[in-house]
Amino acid sequence: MLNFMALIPETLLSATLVLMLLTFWLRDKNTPKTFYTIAKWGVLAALIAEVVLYNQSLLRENYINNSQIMLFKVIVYLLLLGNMHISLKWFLSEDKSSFRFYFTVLLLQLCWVAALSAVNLLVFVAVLMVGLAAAYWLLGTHIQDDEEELNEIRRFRWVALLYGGIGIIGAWWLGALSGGFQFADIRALVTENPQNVEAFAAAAMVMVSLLFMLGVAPFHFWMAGVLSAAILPVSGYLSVVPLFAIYACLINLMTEALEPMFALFIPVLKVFAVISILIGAIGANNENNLRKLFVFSRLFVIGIVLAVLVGLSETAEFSGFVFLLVSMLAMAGIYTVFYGFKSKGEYLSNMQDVAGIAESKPYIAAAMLMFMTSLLGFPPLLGFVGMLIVLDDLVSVHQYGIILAVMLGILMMASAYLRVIKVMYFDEKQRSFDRVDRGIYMILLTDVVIIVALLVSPKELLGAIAAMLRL
Amino acid sequence: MLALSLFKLFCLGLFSEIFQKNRLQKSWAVIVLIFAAAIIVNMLTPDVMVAGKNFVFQWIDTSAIKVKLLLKPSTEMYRFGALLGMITLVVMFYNCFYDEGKMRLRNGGLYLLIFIVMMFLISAQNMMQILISVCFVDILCFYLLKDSNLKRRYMFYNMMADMALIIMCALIWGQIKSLNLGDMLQFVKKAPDKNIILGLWCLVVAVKSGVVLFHDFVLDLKKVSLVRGLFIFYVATPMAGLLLMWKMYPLLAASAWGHYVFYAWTAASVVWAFLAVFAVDDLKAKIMYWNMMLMGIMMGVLAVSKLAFVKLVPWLPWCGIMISTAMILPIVAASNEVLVSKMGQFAKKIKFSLLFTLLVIAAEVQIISALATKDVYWYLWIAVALQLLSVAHVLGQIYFAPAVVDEKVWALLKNPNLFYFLPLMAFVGLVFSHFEFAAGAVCLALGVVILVIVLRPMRGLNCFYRDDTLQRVSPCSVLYDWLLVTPIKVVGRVLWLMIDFVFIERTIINMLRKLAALMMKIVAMLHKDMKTSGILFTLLGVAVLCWAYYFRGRF
Amino acid sequence: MQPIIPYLLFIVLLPLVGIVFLLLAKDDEKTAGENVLKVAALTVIANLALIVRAFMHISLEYGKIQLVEKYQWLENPKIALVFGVDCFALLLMVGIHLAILIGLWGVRNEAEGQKSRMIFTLLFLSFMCGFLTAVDIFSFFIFFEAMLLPLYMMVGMFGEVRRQGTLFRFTLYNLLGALLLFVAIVVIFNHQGTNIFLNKISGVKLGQLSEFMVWCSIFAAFVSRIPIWPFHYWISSISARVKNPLVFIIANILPLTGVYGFMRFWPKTMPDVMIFLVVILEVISVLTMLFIAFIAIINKDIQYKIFSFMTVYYIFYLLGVFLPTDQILLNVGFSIFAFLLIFAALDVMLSFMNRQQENTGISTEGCLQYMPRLSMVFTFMVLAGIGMPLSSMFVNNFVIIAELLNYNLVTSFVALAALILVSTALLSDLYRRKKDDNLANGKEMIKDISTGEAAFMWGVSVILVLSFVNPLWFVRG
Repeated sequence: MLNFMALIPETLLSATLVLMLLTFWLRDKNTPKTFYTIAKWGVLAALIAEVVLYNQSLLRENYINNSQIMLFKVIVYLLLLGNMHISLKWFLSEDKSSFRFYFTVLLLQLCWVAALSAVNLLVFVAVLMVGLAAAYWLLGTHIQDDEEELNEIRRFRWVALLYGGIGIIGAWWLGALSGGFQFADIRALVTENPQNVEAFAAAAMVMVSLLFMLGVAPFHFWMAGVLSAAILPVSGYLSVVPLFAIYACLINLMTEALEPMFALFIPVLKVFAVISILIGAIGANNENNLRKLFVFSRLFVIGIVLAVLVGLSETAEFSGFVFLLVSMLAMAGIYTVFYGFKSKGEYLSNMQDVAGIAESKPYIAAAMLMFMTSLLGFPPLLGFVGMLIVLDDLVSVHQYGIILAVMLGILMMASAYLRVIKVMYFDEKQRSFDRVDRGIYMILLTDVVIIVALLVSPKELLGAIAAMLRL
Repeated sequence: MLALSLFKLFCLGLFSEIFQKNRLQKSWAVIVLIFAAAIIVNMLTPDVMVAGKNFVFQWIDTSAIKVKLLLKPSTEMYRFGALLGMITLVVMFYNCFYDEGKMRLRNGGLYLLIFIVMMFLISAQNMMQILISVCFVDILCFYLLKDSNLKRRYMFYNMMADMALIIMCALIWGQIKSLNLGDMLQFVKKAPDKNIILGLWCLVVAVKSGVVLFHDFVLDLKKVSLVRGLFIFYVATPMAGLLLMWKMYPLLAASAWGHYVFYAWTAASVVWAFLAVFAVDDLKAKIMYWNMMLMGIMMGVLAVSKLAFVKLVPWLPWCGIMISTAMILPIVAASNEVLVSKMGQFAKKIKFSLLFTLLVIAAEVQIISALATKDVYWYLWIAVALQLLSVAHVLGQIYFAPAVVDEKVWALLKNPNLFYFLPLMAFVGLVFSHFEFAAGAVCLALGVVILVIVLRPMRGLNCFYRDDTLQRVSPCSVLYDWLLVTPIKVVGRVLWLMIDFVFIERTIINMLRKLAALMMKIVAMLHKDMKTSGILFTLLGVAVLCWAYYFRGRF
Repeated sequence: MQPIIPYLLFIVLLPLVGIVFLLLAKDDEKTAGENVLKVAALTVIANLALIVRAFMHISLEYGKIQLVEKYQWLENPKIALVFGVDCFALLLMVGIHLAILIGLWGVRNEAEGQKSRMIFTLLFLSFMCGFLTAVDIFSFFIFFEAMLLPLYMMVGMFGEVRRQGTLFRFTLYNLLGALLLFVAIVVIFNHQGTNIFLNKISGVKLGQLSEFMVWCSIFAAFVSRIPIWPFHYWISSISARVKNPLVFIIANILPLTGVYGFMRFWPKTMPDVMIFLVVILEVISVLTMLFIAFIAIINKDIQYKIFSFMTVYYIFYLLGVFLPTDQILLNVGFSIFAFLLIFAALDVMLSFMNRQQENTGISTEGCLQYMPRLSMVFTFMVLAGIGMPLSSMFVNNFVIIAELLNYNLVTSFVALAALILVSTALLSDLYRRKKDDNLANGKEMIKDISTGEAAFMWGVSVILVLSFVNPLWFVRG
């Protein structure tokens, strides 16, 4: 019997989307807050439903929920809520319609939760491709008439089509080979012959598509240009929120469907991880644009997460999760700080534009400093906990080559962050900065409190996470 | 009782240092002098200095090191203490009345503090107490010397000596794990590094005593007032060097060559000073050379016999002080004219000064006759003869040579006031009343001296006064500059250029910088255009996948 | 009996509480930094009082860890942070607090950026206290690395360092050392399966290659903090050029963490693989001492001379740490206590003279002639610094020298030559400032330190003299 209760969260999200559409079409006097409010309540309701119904599955062979999946979903929901709240500031200050943004992020949320629960490869890939398309549409939100930025978005369209197509073809091929699209069918195929070249090629195509969405090197080339061209709420969203979802999808795929073949992918993922770490670290040093710098920083983080995953220790998943969580908390904080970098109504993204900001906006600068050092894994901030767990994991599986790459990467990332700190704190102020909205301070404070609280007593939270990840 | 007296002196000294007054300087200085005199005179009695109670202070008591500070009355303590105490009082007396500007009270305090520290040195029974005393003397003298050039040279020599002393004591302690002087004999028998230690000890004593090669800081004392200069010489550092030699005497037994080193140094000091007296024109410099000669003589006596030293030393420093005082009389009389070449025929106007100078010479001869023991007899007489010969030559130049005096100086030339003669009178009276009159020696010596003064047989050597280089330049300073200072500076410069600047800046840092720049350039190029980078990276990804599949099983 | 109050936790946290008060303190043009300075100074004094109080509860031996406090931090992996102290650590903390107090006094007239300066100072102090009270490898590492951030901020914001590239390299170099230590301790932790006390590290038996790599990493981590050739350049480029006295003091406390690290980590029974490393380190150390001393002689910059003086002494203490005996480690601690106060006082007085020079345009040559109060104290500090018996440095250096001479004559003589050279360099600057040739212009504009300021400096001198008589004079019983 079909357990439709499992679909309540998704239904709520869909209903919210419909409501938003109707509001957009039928109501004249819509403000940016209108769509935010609708989206907020919809997401909250869906979140509550998700938590309550965490172990309700629709069809065991197609769509499941358990504590592990719920954990990822909850994180994604919470990050989405935070991102939605802060994005409102942008729309309010720019006085622009927020419909496209909130609608799309809600649609993307629907895609992520669906992908997380899907155990049917076709459904899995389909929702992810819808997500990719939605992401493309999101990128176009209020894009300026800058020719270069428009070209970046257009090029992304083709690249997304290419990689999306690769993913679809790969999924279709795998399904054809295994005689069914369920993960169980695929698992059976690869168990029978783990080194089958066709199966490997098909699986590789699906993996490549996922890695492209994750932004792992060498499939990251689109990220820096695209995310810096997009408006601040969009780049903030795409840098932080989908990461957990896609990461969880990758783990699901590897552990549920492709596990017997995983050994073939290990060296690939290792190489990708190391390249990500190094390119992320070196690329960050090249950049004067703050958003591009943190895009490379994100690449560096995802490289480490991938490196931990392929170490195949007992606690690999847990380590990767924790590291990703603490990094994304810091990254979310950094994007919040970007909302404070404003001068004469214009949001600043160039490093030189924020020279001497510490003089007039000391708390903003201090928050930025704190988040960057946490991102680096610097004690005594929360990022250190993540780095410690990662390093412990890598040492336990004797991955010293990767450790060396991580250490080199940290040094180079530190160099990049030091440049930012230098500009903010040591350089002379070149311009005046606009007053920062109190809401931004509140969000920053919340982020800082979370980080400090988790740092002081992390064992409860980490214990809960470990339990939910079935450790 | 001894400790209490020294404590009272310490409080008095500290008071003088802290409460430096700008008004009524003289009065305050006199008050301090009176109190100091009362305490010192009361202290310098056999009951206190010989038969008094020991004072022991357990200073350090750790597992690594244990040190006690000790004030132990003894006969030697009495002899040396009396010497230093009386010199201190005399110097303080002159400090009250001689023009020291606004520093009378502070200087008085420093004299007292130095005296206290020297008492600790005399009574030291362990190396740590010696070290601390010697170092404190240096610190206090550093404050006593006002001129920065004097401080520089003084500290340079004495810091080297102090470091050498620390190294020496550390080596000894490291081997026998005892700081007691009594255990030094044990060290001398056993230690493998005794030659190094003996060498260091000889160096320390020589530097501290201001003998030849290390006499520049002694010569510098000519720039301060005579009072202060004599105090520093006979109560502070050079005397500290001599006492150091006396306290650590057993080290001489460590090796046979120790004695010879000191003999050589004594001879060299006496000869150098003797020659220098003829060469330099500055009378104050000559005075310091005579003192240096005397210090060399005392060192030589000690090297021969500790007993002879203990007998002679309380008196010989007084000889030096009195000769110096007597020789300063012409300077004072001649309105501070210091160049001997600009003096002459002073006998016409200041006969009294000449008379007292001769009396002091007689007193010195009397002392030597009475106290010279058999083992040092001939060496002592030869050295003293050289000294007196040089004194006589200078006296002849001052009192009987043709006058080349400035007119104004000649007009104002007269005997100094009574205060200058008081100590001379006291000294002469004490010597001749204390010792049995050695008529032969005294008459012979005086006769020779007077002959030399009047006939001036060595007047041809006055041509050295015209050599400017000889008057200005100190050969030892030039030697140090060439052998020590310049090489150090050159090495420092080379190291800075080569190691700091060239090697590290130009090689390591540059290399790293270029490597980082290259990597950044490559990454920047790869990410320049989405189309190109897309193709490149996608191909890379595919290549990695193919590689992984092709080499499967080998990982 | 363990005291009820967790002293060590309070000692680490109190500066952080002080930061909260600093954030709330009024700092505008009217107050001109005075409020925030007072808050910072009171925090430091309060912490000092806590430390002195903690002294009353411990026995005064080196190595006996007491007042142990344990905090379960992580369950997966299982890590508990443990804090504890012995006499040595507490003594260093007292010295550092006093040095920072002197530094605060040196910046009391600076209004601009005072709040930020005080915040980072207290942050650094908190991390230093955490570092010195850490007893397990993780808490040790956390504070070892954490202190780099406030240091970087202070040097960058207030150090007036012109070449930012040098500051970057300095920070990255220290960070590299910290990362090496991180990897090493994680390897050890992984091997043992549990957190380890610092004094038990030598008991960990790894494979030969692992042992070699781990100890090399630990070695490199601590060496990176000490200006040892050829890696002294970055440290000297920063430490010798910082103008602000408080920042200079803090920057030059950093090498102490390297010496301290060696002291805590270094195994009593040396693994065979390490013996050659120790020999190399000793040779390089004494050569560094010598050549830095040589450069100090020719370098006219007094800041460099003080940096050289400190470097030579840090390496001297390091040599003492490497001796095959633990008996003198407390002597090293006593000597470092006085050393910290001396260099802090010297630097503050020098910055005063530099300010005079900037305000009046006069040369520093002969300037002390017109500042008698400052001249006396400055002379005292220089004499104490070169090892005269005016502080606990004298006797304790004697003990260290004796043990060094006992161990290796050649090394010791080279080290002592360096000490002499660097002392000569300091003295030569003193003479230059005391030169009594008349200053050409501006001497009437020179201001001496006030009576109150002189009293403060003499107070520091009294502490030094008391330390000479008894280094633990402030401990009852």
